[in-house]
Amino acid sequence: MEHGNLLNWLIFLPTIAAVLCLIVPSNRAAKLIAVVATGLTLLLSLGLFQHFAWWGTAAGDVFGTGYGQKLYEVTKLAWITLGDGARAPKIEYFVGADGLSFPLILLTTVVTFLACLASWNIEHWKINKGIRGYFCLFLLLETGMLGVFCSLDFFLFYIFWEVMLLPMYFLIGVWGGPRKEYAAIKFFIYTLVGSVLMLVVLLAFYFYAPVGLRTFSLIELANNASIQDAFKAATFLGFRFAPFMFVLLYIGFAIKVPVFPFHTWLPDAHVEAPTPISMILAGILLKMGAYGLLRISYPILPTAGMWASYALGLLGLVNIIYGALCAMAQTDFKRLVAYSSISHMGYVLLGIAIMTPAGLQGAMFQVMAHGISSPMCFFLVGVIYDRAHHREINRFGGLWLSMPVYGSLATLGFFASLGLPGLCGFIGEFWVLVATFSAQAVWPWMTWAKPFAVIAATGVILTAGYILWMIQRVYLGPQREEYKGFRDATTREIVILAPFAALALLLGILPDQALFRFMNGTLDQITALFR
Amino acid sequence: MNVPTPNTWLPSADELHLFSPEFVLVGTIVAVLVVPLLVGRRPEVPALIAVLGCFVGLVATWAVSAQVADGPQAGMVPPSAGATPMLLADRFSVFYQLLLFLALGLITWLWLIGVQKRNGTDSTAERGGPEFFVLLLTSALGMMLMVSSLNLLVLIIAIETASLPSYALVASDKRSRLGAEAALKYVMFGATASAIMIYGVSLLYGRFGTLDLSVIASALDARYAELRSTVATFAPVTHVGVTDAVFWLGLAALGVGIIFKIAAVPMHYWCPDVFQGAPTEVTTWLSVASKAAGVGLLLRIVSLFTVTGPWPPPNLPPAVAGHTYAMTVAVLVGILAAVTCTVGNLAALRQENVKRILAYSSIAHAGYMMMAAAIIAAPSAASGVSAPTYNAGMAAVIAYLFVYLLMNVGAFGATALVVWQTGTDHLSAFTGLGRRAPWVALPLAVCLFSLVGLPPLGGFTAKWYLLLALGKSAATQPWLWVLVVVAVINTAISLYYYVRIIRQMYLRDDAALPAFRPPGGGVALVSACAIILLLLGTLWFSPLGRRAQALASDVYARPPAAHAELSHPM
Repeated sequence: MEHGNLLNWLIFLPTIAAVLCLIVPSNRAAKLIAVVATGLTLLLSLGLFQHFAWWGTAAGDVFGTGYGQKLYEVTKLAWITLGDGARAPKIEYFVGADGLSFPLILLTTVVTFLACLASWNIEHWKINKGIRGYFCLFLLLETGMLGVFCSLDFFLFYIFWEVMLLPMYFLIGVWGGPRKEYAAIKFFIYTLVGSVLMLVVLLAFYFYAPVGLRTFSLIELANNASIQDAFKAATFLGFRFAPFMFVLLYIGFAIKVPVFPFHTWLPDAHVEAPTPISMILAGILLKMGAYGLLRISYPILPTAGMWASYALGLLGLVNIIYGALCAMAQTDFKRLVAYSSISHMGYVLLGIAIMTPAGLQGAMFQVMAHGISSPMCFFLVGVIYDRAHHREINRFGGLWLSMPVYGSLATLGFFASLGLPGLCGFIGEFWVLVATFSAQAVWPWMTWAKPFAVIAATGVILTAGYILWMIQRVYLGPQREEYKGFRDATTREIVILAPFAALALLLGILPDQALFRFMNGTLDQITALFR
Repeated sequence: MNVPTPNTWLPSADELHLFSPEFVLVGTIVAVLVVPLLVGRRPEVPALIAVLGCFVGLVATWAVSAQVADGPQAGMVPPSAGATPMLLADRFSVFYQLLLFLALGLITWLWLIGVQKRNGTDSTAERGGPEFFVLLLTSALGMMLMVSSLNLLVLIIAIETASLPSYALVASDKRSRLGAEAALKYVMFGATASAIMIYGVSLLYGRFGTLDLSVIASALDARYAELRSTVATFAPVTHVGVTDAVFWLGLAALGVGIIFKIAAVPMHYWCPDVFQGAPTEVTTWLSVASKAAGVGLLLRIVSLFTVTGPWPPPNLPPAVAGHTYAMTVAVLVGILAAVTCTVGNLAALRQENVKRILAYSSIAHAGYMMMAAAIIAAPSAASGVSAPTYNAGMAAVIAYLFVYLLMNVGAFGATALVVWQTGTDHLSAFTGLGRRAPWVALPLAVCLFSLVGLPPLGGFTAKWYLLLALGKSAATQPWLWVLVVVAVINTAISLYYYVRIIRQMYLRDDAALPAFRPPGGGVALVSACAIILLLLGTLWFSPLGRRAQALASDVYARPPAAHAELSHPM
């Protein structure tokens, strides 16, 4: 463990800025503070490269020999200790970064900064009141998100997980579209149901560990053999402990991802949320579900993961196919992108469910790829919504002619989402499909893996179907009279889109140098826990 | 039996000192009655006296807390042969005195703002300050005694002392028809509950031949030992003999009275009507103090059943062990708690009146607190092997009550500010409050989110300690996990109705509604509550738990009969 304060600054710099936003006199100053703070957070997060950028050294030097052996920028402080001396519940402020959290921390700072830029025209929104409040909540949201990715204490994780809810509720509920109230409360209640189930698991993990070893540390829970043995042997209200806890956790994370029966909040929230909030929702919040599975469910309850792998793989498949079919049926542009998120997250679920090193790598790559392409798509939708004030796909046409620069960037973004080779989406999907197809080499009992891979592959065709059809209807075809006068993308819009486009290209062309090598070490350590 | 002449019994100075907070309260009541006769009936006068009384009372409580630092003390032993103490002073009762004085101070503050606000709009509003405070302080006295009593007779007197002034307080706004109706409902319900309770006490007296709780506790101990020794022939069916049926019936009837005070299911029907009809200050008082005292009393009664031997008893098969008194009481209280918080939360979902929403919310919170009572009754392995240094259930309730006081004073205080301004407590009165009065809306939102139990606010801290205590005891009583699950699911349900108020304040607006300036004192009150809640959820997370543990550290189950002998050699 290497101690450091970088993560503390990352987490709490936005909080400080949020307070500043409330007390500065003018809206413009609040905007400026928000942009500077998110920009500064982005720059600070780049500092993590000093630990993870390795080209000459061996992987072992960077990632250590086992899960949680090598953590960077760790802060570990006793936060809550209570009575009973040495046996007291010890809750720690324990943050640190490893190969699993590092890419997601970077993704968070990048997407948040760009979403903050996307909020710059807030004065021209339909609801443009309370601008200082908006940026204050926006910054608090960033604190919550970064806190989730950085914390290694389950209790702390839970706190940040909940802290994120409040700002999101208001950001959708106040600044959203016509059905904002419904969408906001739906998001809030769904997520809270998931997180209170997590609270039960949190307590159970603590009290089911042997008395002297009780801890909330996620690393310790996964690594300590006595705790693991106790979890495997225990029963909870008559059920086997590990599967029961796994299911509770899974529901919590599945709501966030979202997995098929729990997904209905997502289209509503995405459609009603303002563009920058949709970007964050799709780019980061959905990733928390996958992160939670990889950080908590699988390392701590690996046996339950195997027990459930068939069902989880099936859910992943349903997500892929069902999401794609729903996306195909949409006439609202934003709803289409929202359902495409469900479809794309299905690959993540499938990759995780098969529990092989390649599967986890593919899943994480897909997480990052989707984290880049989906905010870009949402912003692309936002750009034309700003001009046309509607999102009916069938009413558009020939936009490329009036907006050439925007049209080119849009095509790139949607192709990245589609999974065109050379762009980020391709690697993730391909990796997951290959891993699923060959999963039986690692787990001989996984006889269902090959058929699953075949079925999942059809999802790629469906994806191509709805995206190409959409591009044809919106960007191609004859130019329509009412869209002739549309301004091409402004400098601000290009500045927001260009980094996404560059990252999509970079990840598509150099997947190893740009991403795999930063996280594979830790992912392999997690899969080593499964044996 | 020699009949004592009245003048032979004079408690010692030490003994009287133990109950100085109660005496301070009595003195304040007298002063509130007398002083306005001398200086005139201005509303500030009784309020000032009440605040002064609270301060003196806090000092007195401080002194008592030093006296009980080494362990519980009991007092007020009548001089007849074999008599036992009537009242108890320990850290738990000291905590209640602190809580009640704090609540009294905050209510007085709120009342004073209300009087000024109403005098501004309606000059004929004569609020009867002295009468109000006499009633308020008397009910506080009753509540203090409720938590301190060691004798069923004192218990009845305490409950009645707390209840009777409350009925009148509800109707203290003489022009309010709704208030009068609420008071009538409250009286009818309360009188019935009292009658049932007194009947129950008489049955208990018939069963045990004593009104003394510590004697009843030892009798139960003896019965438990008897059950254990006859294990060979013991069958669960025979153990509910006639005498036990009387015991259970008496206990259930006594429980009716306690549950009425807590407003737990099934004795909760009065709560929404009374809370809606009463003036908001009184509603605040009832929701916090009355409920807190009821919960405290429940803990005291339930702790009678705590099994002091090892658990599960070595010579008892588990199926039989499950039928002992302690387990039965624990399971019953647990079921009642689960039902109470579920019913409260579900009923709140469709309310349109903010005071009714908060009334149902208080029913739900009573349910959460009653879960702690289930912990106390549930026998734990630790009690026989190595005594825990503190009582986890008690500590959880202490922390919960403190946070609950702040949340409710904040929420009802902000509601009162809106009601005084708009004249209605319907949900629509809160429309656009975030714009119209941002410094009322923001603290109210904080208090409401805290009531949900979202981090990083005090409400989460309280709920966390409660769940932690449940989880801890679940090591030996796995069924307590059911309560954990019920509690967290209820948290998710409750979100909806709290957020309805927040939605009305922030997500909806009506440009026709003007902004208004709330009284500065009111804003200060609700803001202080909100800020403390925020601190309790972050920096004071750990200190709150430690303080609560310290207060619960010597609150073991039994009323200290032995201590009474020691501290009263005469």
